[in-house]
Amino acid sequence: MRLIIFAAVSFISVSATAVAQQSKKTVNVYTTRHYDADQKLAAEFEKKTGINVRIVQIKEPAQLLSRVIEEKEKTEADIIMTTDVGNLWRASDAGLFQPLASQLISRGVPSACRDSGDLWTGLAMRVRLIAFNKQKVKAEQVARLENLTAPEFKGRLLVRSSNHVYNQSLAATLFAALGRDGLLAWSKGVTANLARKPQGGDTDQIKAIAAGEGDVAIVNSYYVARLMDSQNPSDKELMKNVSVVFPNQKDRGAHVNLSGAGITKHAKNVTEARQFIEFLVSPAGQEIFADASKEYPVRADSKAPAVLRQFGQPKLDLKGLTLIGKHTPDAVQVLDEAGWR
Amino acid sequence: MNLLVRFFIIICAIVFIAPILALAGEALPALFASQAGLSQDLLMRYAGNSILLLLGSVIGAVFFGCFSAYLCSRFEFAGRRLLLLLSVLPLAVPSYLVAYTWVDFLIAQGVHGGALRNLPVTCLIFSLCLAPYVFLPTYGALTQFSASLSESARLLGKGPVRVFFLIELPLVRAAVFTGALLAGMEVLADFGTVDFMAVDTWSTGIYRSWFGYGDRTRAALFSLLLFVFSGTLLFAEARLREKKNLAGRGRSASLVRRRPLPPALWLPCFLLASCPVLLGCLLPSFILLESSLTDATPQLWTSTLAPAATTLMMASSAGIMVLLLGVVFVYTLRLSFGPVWNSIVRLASLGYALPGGVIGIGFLILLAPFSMTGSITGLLLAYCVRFATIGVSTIEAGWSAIPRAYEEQARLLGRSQGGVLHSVSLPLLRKSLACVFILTCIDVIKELPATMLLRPFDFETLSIRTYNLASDERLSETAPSSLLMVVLSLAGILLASRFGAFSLTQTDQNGSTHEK
Amino acid sequence: MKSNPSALEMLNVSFGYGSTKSTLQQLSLSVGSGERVAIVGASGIGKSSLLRVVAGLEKISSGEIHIHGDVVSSAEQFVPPEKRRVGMVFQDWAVFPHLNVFENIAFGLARRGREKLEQQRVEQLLEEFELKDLANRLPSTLSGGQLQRVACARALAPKPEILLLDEAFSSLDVSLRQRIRQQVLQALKLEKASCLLVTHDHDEAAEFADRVLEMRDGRLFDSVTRTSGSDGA
Repeated sequence: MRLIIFAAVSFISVSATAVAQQSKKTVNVYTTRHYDADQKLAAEFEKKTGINVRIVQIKEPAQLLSRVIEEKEKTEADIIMTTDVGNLWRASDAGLFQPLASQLISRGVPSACRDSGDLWTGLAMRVRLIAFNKQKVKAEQVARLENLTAPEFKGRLLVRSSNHVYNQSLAATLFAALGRDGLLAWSKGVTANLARKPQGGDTDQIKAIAAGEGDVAIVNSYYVARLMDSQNPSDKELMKNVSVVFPNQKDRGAHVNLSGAGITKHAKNVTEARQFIEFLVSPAGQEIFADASKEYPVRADSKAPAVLRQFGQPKLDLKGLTLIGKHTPDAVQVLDEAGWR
Repeated sequence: MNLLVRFFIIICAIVFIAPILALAGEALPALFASQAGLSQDLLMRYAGNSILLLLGSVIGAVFFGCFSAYLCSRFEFAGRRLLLLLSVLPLAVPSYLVAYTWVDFLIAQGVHGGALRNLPVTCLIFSLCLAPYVFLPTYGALTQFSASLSESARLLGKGPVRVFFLIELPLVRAAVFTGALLAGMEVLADFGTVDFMAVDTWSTGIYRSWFGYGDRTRAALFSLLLFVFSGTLLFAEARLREKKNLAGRGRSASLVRRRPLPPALWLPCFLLASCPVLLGCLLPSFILLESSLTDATPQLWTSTLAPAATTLMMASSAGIMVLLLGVVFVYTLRLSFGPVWNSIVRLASLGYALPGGVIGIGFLILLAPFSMTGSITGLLLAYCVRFATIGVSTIEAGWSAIPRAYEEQARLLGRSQGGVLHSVSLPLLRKSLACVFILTCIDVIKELPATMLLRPFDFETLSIRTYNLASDERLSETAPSSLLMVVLSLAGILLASRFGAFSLTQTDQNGSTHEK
Repeated sequence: MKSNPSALEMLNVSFGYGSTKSTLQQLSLSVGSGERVAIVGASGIGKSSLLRVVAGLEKISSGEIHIHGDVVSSAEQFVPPEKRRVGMVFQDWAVFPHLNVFENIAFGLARRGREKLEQQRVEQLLEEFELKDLANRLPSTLSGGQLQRVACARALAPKPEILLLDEAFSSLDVSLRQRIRQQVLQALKLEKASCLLVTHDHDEAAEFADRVLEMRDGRLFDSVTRTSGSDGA
């Protein structure tokens, strides 16, 4: 009996803490992002406007969208925020968004980084670039993603699993750029050149370069930036021999992906939601993205993360962005066929 | 009373089976669709890997678990009680955490990732982490049956090794199997560990279909297949236990007396028996402690406090709920209302066979019409469905060890069925109940996918925090939250064993020490 | 029969477990008030089942069972064991391991508001069975003979109409068995309770009971007895 009372009490106290935060003006965000930058953005926004930002973070975008889809008009979500442009495409395809209807957003964000139907806007970008051991590889050798299939890289390539959305999206842009057969040939070539079974995260690939397991890796820009910026001596040691290059600068540009957000169709706090997104794409918000999560701002007038500026302003494949969502399933099938785990 | 129980069971059955039905409804179109999806070859490879992983891990867990159980129940040696206490500790550390910690640590020592992230190492990690699942019931069974059985076999000319295989193993087989089954379910439902260890299993297939191909229906279908497979195993185990109900017969006359362990064997035996706790708990905890002391900022520490409180409250609430469910379910089985009711109970306790993320989706579909997604009640319900098996199997095993004569006697002395439950069965089940509570708490502390999917706003548990940091590739920053998780679980386990949850120090209560 | 009904009356009772349909076959038996009846027979023949149907631990397939004139088991009626006022001592005694000796004996008495009476009754039984010094001990600390006495005292505590003994003495050594048997016999006489004893030991049956019946093929037959009573059907 004592146990039951204990359970009841703990249950009530959990619920009470959840309810306690209800009363203020709020905006409710469902997000797949898991960066401290977002906490900082929410805090800044609250400081400025007094609007409380409540967050549910669900890492897998497909799960997050499922939740909104199942909740239908009862959903509490005012904003859906995801890391991958494919997911924004899927969300708008599923009719989850309503138009942003904001001058601030449409003026601030270049149209390539926004939905043509005004259903979502990009917030920040990450570039998938090539990291390499500068003792063993020259930048020109890895100037294009297509170069990685060359026989000279046999047993030297490092990449994470294709279970991860970063590679799936990359493959989707290649599907658009090279066609099905082109992507198949490329991913077969990459698979044949691998130093080890695809595994770990992007940081693990850089570590593997440092450990000599391989010489060339495909990684996201902000991981590199974070390691380069780190005060941790072991991270410094890691980056000693590693350099990076933005691939495909002379043709379609480096593969880029967007984090973005939209207001849900059944949002209860539309004004607050719009205000929050406007804040995210304002110069002040963009600076936090660049600073705290080392992402590229979408605003043309905002600066790239400091540590990445030394590599110059990259040419980005913005055309590919809009095609990612549509091509992902096909691209994943090609990756399966190529045997890229 | 009976009517009440029946009513409750029906409610439970609806709550429990509904997500599975929702899932089935979701999966149905997949049978007819001809959309792009995982190829047959790939599916076969995933299935093959799953089976290899299952076998490897379970055999490993059975080996470690049985070895320690036999050593501790049959031999007297220095450090026996310490070993007993330590043997449960790996339960405190989720397997994905063991994987994170070791791989990260070893790579930092210069070991190549390619040598670490593979099937055999994954099997080893699971074996170490899951050994207590086998150890606990096996040790319990080994200390329960009468010494005369093994002793008469010895007198009939069989050596200790043959006695073990001929007498003791068959008698504790049900216990070993129960433990192995629980361990196997963990392996099958896991995604975090295998994903990190780059081993593609059936779960990978589910996730890849859903997240890669955006094909939720096929993900549901694969989940259902996994569910059917695990469900079959569970049913087989229940049947095995019904048929071979060897425990609890006869009175607990003389318990087995422990023989001194030959000094030459002490070191190898002790080392082998402490492998799970050393490699699966203590060393990883030490590594975590070390890196939280050197790397973690004070701010990192303070930000883990709220998740810790949330975790504790969720865990204890779910613990109680699963405990109550377990009692009612097993009580239903004991009352033998008939095969239909028994099947309902069995079916309802199959949640363990479903990966948390899949239960999550079932619940999402189920709860959405009631605006209960993102509510604590919804999440607790999901925990109950997921972990009801812990309650049912543990309490059932405990209950089957209680001779029916006690309950019959109590009725003859004027107690109603409910009265018997309250005055005899539950007090006798005290240890099993504590076991259920703690095991559920620990599983909830570790649980990730269902929590992730169903949680309310601004609701963070330790496991979610750890996972987020890890998936942001900030393993070194996970140390404080991981460490807190481990510490909470450890505290729970130690507290529970103090209360006798694992029947590890029962000698003073159950008899053997009183023959003067 | 109405005026002075037998303590126990079994009429054409049939019973079987699942596949074995015929543990008891049209069995009839009558035990008078204050009478002690012993049933002997080879082991596994269904003697325990006989006690279990009387106690209400099993449901019969046909026939009727009356206790003090009231139907407790029949095609239409089934009185649950707790309402039958039947005491039973199991072969392995089933002394509750979580309760001490006093609590075990008091178990069948526990009724709110009557603690005083309860206390007296338990103390009386502790006295009768020479258990006074053991009142606070847990069963795990008791010997077989002590456990057996606790079980008997406990069964007698609520003053049952009839006491069922299922091989209750068989696992004790000979001298101990004798002594405890005498103790139980004395208590039975004192309490004026009827008793049905099941045993495989003919001597024990003869010494303990007024009447001895033998069980064969699911029925009862007169054995070598001092008094003759009712017979198999």
